[in-house]
Amino acid sequence: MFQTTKGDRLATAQQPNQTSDTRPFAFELRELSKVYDWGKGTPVRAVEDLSLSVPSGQVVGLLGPNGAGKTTTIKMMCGLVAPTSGRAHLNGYDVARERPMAVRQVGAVLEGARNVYWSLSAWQNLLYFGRLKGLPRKLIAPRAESLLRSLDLWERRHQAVGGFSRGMQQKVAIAAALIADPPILLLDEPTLGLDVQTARTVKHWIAQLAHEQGKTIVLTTHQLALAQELCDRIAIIHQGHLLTDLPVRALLDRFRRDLYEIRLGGPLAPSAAPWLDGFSVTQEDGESLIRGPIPDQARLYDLLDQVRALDLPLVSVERVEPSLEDVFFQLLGEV
Amino acid sequence: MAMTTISNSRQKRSVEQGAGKHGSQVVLAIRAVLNETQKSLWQLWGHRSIVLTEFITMAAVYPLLQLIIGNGTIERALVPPTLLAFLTYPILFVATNKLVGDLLEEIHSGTFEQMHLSPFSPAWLLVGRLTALVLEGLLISVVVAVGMTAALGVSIPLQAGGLLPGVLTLIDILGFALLIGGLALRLHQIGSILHVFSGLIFALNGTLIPVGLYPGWVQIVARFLPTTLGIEALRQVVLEGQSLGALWTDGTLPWLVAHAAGLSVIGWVVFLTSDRRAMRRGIAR
Repeated sequence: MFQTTKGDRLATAQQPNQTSDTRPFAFELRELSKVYDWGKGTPVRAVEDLSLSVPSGQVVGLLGPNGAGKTTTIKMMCGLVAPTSGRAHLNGYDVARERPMAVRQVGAVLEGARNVYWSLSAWQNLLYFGRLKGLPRKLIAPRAESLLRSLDLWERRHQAVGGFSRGMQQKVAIAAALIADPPILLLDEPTLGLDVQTARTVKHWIAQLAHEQGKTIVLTTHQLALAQELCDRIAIIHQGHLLTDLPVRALLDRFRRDLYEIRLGGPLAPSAAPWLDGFSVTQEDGESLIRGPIPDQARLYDLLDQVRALDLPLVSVERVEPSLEDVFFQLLGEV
Repeated sequence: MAMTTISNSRQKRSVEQGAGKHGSQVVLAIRAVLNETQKSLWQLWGHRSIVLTEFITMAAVYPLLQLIIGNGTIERALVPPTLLAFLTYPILFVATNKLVGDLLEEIHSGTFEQMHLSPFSPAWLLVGRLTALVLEGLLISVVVAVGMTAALGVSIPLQAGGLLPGVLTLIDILGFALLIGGLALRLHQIGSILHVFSGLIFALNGTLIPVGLYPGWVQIVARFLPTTLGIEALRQVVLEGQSLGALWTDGTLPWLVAHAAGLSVIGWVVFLTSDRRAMRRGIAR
């Protein structure tokens, strides 16, 4: 009846605060690899030797370009894709060997999917997904009510989700992922396709879940500003490899010294300055803004000499705080 | 967007411990199966206009077929055996076609992946879903049976002995549906394969004419298909008044038991192996 039952401790579900002494990591990935072999063409190495451990209560941003292996990593974490090698643990439960307990630790909203039944109402979806996790109705109903009220969906709880706006559907999907109150939440592109206001609502909600309820949240997104704002920690994946895994502050500090902005009092066409390779050039109110990494003073003076030759007035030279986007592109550029 | 009520620690603790406190694994599994059944019934209610169309279509198909076979008239002597056979068709049709449609839809929409985030085996959850589909098919069959017998002035006697072959026929159909469901996880051509099998079953299981009227080799092929043996057993008990003992002695019942059990085991194994394969390769297409 239950899936892989070795070591199954279904009847003794432990609370996260009890487990924190003996199970320090919310999740732990050990040398996870995934090779997709569909029997046609070359096997695809989606993830290679990826190890990542995150303590409870943190928001982790899993970033990377398309095809980097983010979604495969998330799916291996919750047991939706079997790894070719390596192990994943959720709150100490081995996803492969203790699956029934491991999946109880996690709720997931997956990218590009509805995640809930559009032909059912929001209320029916929450009842269904609660029972799917093994909870009885008397525990699900108050929690479903609480979730729906907090998402401003209570008045429309009996309407089919298919008739909702994209933002409301996403809220129902997140509520369904939270119905069993899992300590770990996996959100794959949670704000994709949402309007600005709904994206902001979802963002605030994620922050509340992490900082007020102590949930561990793994977030993948291409919106780097969102990741910078929400995440305590950033892991960047590229071609299946983990490039970096650092707290956001430490990651930004690592690149702090390198980034400069040079403002010129006139228009500058990048084609007229081929020596600006690797810099971004934007025009603002008749001024040009050159932005990019300058590793040392010599390179800075060298660059200013080139600028002087253009005969454009120099307005300012500033060392700037790098954004996560700057770090992201610099790291990928190094690869 | 306040979330104060959610973080109530007492409620949170009870939710976390809920699964462990409430009953044994068997009770939890039964609850999961019933949950799946309820969800499917909710979905059917949500699509009630489509279900109503299915009722009308199925009810219209039988008399039309009999009119075609009877060259414009309905041969009353043929009605009881062919109607009895036809009654299995709505169940088979709904259990297989709708199951495959639902599975493919769920794979594309991501709810099939969500189903795998449950502690319960997807095969058991599928049984819950099939239960709802069989209920829908049974309801159509009952409506067709009552409507046709009343309209055509024939009767099919209700025999308690028909219960066992009836249940075995249902198990046979469930096994076949599991097999088809498993293949749906593997093969993109499942729609075509299902059409071929549905056509074969409909043509050969005795719905059009009794199986005994076919050439010998066709009868052998027909008896390997789902529902054929069940229909034969039902006819013998319900229409010819034979006892279950007689059916056991002449080999009809043992073959039916073996067929239903074999198909169920094959269906179960194919579904589970296909599901594991999907987990290795990634469920979403």
